[in-house]
Amino acid sequence: MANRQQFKYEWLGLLRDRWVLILSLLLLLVCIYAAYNGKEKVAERNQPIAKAMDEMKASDEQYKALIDSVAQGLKTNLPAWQNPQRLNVIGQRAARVAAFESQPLALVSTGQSDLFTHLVKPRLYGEALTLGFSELSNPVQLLFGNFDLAFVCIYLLPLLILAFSYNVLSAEKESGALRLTLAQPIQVTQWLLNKLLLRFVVLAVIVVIAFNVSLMTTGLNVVSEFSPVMKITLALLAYMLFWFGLSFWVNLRGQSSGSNAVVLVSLWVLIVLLIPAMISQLANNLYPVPSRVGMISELRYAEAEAQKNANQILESYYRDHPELAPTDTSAQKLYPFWLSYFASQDEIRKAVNPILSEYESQLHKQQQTVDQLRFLSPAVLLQNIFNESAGTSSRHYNSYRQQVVVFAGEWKNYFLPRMFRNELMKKEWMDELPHFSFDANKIEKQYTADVLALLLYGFAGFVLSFLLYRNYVTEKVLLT
Amino acid sequence: MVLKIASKEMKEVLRDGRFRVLSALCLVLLLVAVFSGKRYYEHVNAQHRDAAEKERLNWVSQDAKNPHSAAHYGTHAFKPKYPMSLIDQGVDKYTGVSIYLEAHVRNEAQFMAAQDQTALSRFGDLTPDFILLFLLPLLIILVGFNAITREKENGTLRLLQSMGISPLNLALGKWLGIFIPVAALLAFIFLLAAWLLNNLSDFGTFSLSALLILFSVYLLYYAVFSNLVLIVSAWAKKSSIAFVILLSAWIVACLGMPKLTTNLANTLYPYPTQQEFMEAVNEDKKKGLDGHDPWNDAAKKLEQEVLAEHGVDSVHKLPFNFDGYLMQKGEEHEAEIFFKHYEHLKEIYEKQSSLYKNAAILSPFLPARFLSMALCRTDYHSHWHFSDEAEKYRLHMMNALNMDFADNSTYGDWSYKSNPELWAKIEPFDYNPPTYASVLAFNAGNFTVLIFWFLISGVVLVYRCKKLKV
Amino acid sequence: MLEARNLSKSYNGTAALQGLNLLVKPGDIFCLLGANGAGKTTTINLFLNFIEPSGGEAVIGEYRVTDAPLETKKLLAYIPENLMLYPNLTGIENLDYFSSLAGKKYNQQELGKFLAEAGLQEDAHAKRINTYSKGMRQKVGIAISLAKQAKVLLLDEPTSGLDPKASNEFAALLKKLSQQGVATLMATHDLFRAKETGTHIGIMKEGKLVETLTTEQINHADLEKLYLQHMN
Repeated sequence: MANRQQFKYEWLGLLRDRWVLILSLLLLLVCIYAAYNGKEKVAERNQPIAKAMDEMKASDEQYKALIDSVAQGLKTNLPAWQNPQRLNVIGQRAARVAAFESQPLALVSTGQSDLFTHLVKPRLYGEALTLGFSELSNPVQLLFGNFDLAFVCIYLLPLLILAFSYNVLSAEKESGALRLTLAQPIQVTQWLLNKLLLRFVVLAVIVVIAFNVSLMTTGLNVVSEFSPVMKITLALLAYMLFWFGLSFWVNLRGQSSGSNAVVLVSLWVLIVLLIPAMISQLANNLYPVPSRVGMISELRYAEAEAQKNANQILESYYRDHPELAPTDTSAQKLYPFWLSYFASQDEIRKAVNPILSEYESQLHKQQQTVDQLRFLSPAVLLQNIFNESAGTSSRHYNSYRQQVVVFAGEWKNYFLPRMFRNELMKKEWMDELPHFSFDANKIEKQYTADVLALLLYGFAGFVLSFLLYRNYVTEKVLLT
Repeated sequence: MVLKIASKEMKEVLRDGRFRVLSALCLVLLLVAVFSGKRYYEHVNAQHRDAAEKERLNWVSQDAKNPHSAAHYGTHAFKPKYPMSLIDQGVDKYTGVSIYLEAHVRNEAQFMAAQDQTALSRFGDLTPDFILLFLLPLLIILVGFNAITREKENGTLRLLQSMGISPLNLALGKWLGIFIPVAALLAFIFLLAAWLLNNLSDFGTFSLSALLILFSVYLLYYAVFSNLVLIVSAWAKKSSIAFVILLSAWIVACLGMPKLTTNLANTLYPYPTQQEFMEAVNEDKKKGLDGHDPWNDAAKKLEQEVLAEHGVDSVHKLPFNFDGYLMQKGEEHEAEIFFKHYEHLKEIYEKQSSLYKNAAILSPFLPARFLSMALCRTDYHSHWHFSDEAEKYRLHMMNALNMDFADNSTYGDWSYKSNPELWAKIEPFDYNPPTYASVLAFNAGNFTVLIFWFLISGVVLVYRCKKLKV
Repeated sequence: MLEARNLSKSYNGTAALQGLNLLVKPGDIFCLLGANGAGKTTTINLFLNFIEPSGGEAVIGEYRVTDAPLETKKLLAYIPENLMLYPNLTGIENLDYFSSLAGKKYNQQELGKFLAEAGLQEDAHAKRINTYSKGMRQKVGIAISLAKQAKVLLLDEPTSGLDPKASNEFAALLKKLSQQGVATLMATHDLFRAKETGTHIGIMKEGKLVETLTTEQINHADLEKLYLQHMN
């Protein structure tokens, strides 16, 4: 009962404090702006994909018509080497768009999406493993980062919490009301906990509303995306709990408001800025990313060596792929140049792929190790949750790259056997060409582990404070 | 008098637990950052040197082959790292480390470090620039936010004023009391950096004057923050209010404005996507000369012109191989197209840069940020310079190869193989960064803004202090 | 009701209170006199368990305050020199809040009755505390102790800074409470008020209780003489 009355009057006090209203409105505005930014980024990402898809469809129709007319012996104004009946022409010029379209919640976190392109066209002649996935961008922008919801929640929200809670105990001490409170038969820790709990609930409601409203302003259907939105919300609450726990501890130390503010801001700097940077630095020192330039020189050497033997290659290629060797050697060959080209490409690939996959696996191992370090900081954990929910994490882009490589293989495998069989492109084949679709299910889910760790952080502050101040000495609070 | 106040302030600051703990923390972090920066620099530099040597070896040890095949084989230009990067890594993580130089195409630099790292790296790395640009201003705020409000709250300001101390002297004393300890910290780190840089094996590329300019940039940056801290402390009635205002200002200046401007720049002056860019290039290419396609209209026209010039009626009668000549002309034409499109990209980049310069009116962080990385040769401009120089070298290389083909073979002789000596005759890519004079000239705007910040905030501080009432 | 047994407190070796023995029975108003720093507030802080004694014990009712801090706090009410309440809440809300902390539950009418009993004018009940004068705040403090049905009242210079009328009203309230059997320990500088209101007087000097007497034993002039004697 005493608790209920306390909540009631704490709530009245908060309600009558205009700062709460101002800060809430400010938070809402900042969230809406951040969500708007996120939406712009997503549009920037999806527009070129939609355009490329439309263009691909249009050109497919064109090719169908062209194949038809060439098959009927009609004259086209295309040069011979662009004859659409040639499979190599289709394989090269009618390449599929392998796009990584945004996930519904992409707008909450830019994540790694500003580093990579979301649209590649693996072609018949190219090498999938050397496809560039870089996006053209001003590196200054990459350095500064984006003003997105993830930034607001990871960096700014803790400051809001600190502003809400840094002086809960000290303000009463400084005004003198604390003496009267402490003369009542209550536990200081319990009393302070109640005060912070109420603030947590109030702020949680404000944050959840601001977050969801800002998502809705972008036109996102919060109801149909209920589950991922809920997941982020839960993580946010755990993150908020962590900061309240920290504030609980600092309040219990019984210092002045000014000292509390300085301590809490220092902790904010430590947890949000320094620890992540230190982990990052630690990762670079302990588990350095394997050298890309080293890889280039190895690659180049292997490539040069492979090219030197390019002459006898087709012969040895047939030895390795007897199924592709022409059974009737007198048959008119349609693709002599291309077949030897692919054979020599294959040779080069054989020389180069071990280096690339060795590099990739080293990189993968390194990233996995570094990934474990995220448990050292709640801020990094929340970032990971945001990126995973938004589909903009490193893991998403690694998977996209791998899926494109697999698809490029499928694409080649569609054309090569047909070319070796000396076939010509048929109109109806245009509809059965392999196509790419990104499969988000292939990505390792880390949400559960992350959110559990965050909750652990969330409660740790409170539990430790309780243990530390089990025997609360008011002397320290009142007389310092 | 001023010195008396300053020394009293410094005594207070130095005896303050906050300053001791925080500055010790900053110092330790800076030491770690500087030493690991040095290690990283040496590591990367060794890698690059090694890779460049191997790549050169790959190039010169090519067999006898058609020069145009060699042109397609191409070579890599590796972006060097400069000694002062151990202080500021700038955008290095977000630019590629090497450019593939091949026939027909100007490639973007590839393999940016950030792409190989997890999203964790987006929090930033513990490098000296991170501490110098973000944390030391915060240290100034934490040390100085209550420099004047404290005297108001304790009532000592009333006492001081009753003794007839001019508010200006008081402010100057307090200013020195905040600034000198931080400046001393900075000086120590720069001395250490100078010593480390001096002991690097490739000391030649490091200039002490650049380090001194960088030092003065940071001094100016901290002076601005000291001014701001005192202005707010003189204005606010309570320490807590001063603290909240200064902290908000720090967030806006160091975190908010850079991100806001980035989003604005992205909306107002967006870069084309990689696909759009290449499509635009290919569109232009289609219209023009293709060295590989002698049936192309533009190629036919060139053939007529060349035949007329030499007064012969067949390409077979020309004194050089028309294939090679055509190849070179095609290369030149493509280079022009790339030049045009890269110039366009550069225009966008410059518009974005000027937006950042304008935003600097609201954030002293921005000019300091840009100046710092420019002086350490880790800014975007340095990257552009490298990319442009690499392109120049590529054209030079292509010219040598194509003209060897044109001069030493006959028309239609695609089986021509040039002497392997040719590979060694093409000298390796030797990149020289822009001089410091040009770096400074390019960044004059940032300098001006930063000095402007210092002067304006100084004037406001003087005005504010004159009005200082109890 | 309220007893100090050989109660001592020292800070870093400096004694703030040495071997204090005193007993306040129900209905008694014990006034502690003494210079600043004589140990009056320390005594009250010890009874409130705000600070831990270095020796001896403070007893309220049948409990030692250090053993049963919550039980003893249920019995006592405390009014500091400058009673601060929540400025954003009204008088009646503050009363409700603090009495609920004490584990009591009253309706609005009952709360109003306590405030009226403490002498706070009706129209101020629903006004926020930040509009109150010091005297009005002290009355809310009395109302809190009334609502709490405290058996012990600890007062730390409750009348300093009050105008004579408010001070007089406050003294009348104390007398009323004492008639109801409340034991009161009051630290004060006001010799006149102590003589008028108190039943017992103790004079403290440098952490020691140097004189104890009942107010009936002495008139006002002699009290002042006695006090000054001890101070010099």
